Amino acid sequence: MNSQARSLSHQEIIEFAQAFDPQPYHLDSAAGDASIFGGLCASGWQVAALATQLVTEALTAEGVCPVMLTGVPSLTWRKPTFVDQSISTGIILGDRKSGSMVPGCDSQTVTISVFGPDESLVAEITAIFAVESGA
Amino acid sequence: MSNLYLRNRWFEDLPVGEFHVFGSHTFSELEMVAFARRYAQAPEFTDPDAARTLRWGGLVAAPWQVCAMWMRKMVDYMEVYAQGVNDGRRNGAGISVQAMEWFEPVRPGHTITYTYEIVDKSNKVIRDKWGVIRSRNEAFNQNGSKVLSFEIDILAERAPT
Repeated sequence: MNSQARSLSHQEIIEFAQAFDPQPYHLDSAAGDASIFGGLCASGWQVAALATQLVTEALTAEGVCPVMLTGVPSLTWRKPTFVDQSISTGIILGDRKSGSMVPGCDSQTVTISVFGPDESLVAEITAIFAVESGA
Repeated sequence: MSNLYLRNRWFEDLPVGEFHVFGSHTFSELEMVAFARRYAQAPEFTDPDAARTLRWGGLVAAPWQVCAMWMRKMVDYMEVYAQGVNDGRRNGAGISVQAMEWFEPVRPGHTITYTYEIVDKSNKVIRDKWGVIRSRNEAFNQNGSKVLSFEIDILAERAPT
């Protein structure tokens, strides 16, 4: 299944960076141009958080009812995410195990591909969500 | 404030086993709600009143916020103690995360302390000049309970040859 697409504005990228990741390439266009990323780009944590929100919406629409992210066995950032660039996710449901750090929940593994423009791969995430037991 | 190191350090200067306490952050209800309204839009994270009748009996921080604050504490720490962030040498660009797990919810007023330990240095060379430092990172609340742990691979510039 696929999530909806969303983007991060210049202001959203700067505000997140000021709060959580105040490194020059997330705050300043000239510093971004000169960096390994080649432009002002979003913090990788902001991309991960946005992807998690998009996946949560998509799973909820499918009746999976994710309660909370409880683990990320792996996350790889492949490409920077630039201002106003479209972000969407492709989602594959994996194993489901009983028990979770969230009481009354099971653990659902979800493989997430985070896509930029033209389906380019921005990040790959293996995530574990707490889901309602029996749901 | 004096610096802990005499000079900027290259990849080669960073030993496995190096350990730092990056510092602590006390999470407020306001910042938890502001984060969650954008990135974790469920009432447990966004609505202090509704959250009282829900699973945790009160508002909790979005998992990514607890992790993102690790990044903030690392950047602040390195700027003061390792002089590295602004000159781009200790680039800080993360490339991948392994074994991330959240163990307990973080509530308003909780004070979370973040630690970092270098556990491995890869022989890989990225774009001719970057090495890869793997660290194990942990976050503990005011009672000493672990709330988050993960490993991350971060680029560090190799010494010029």
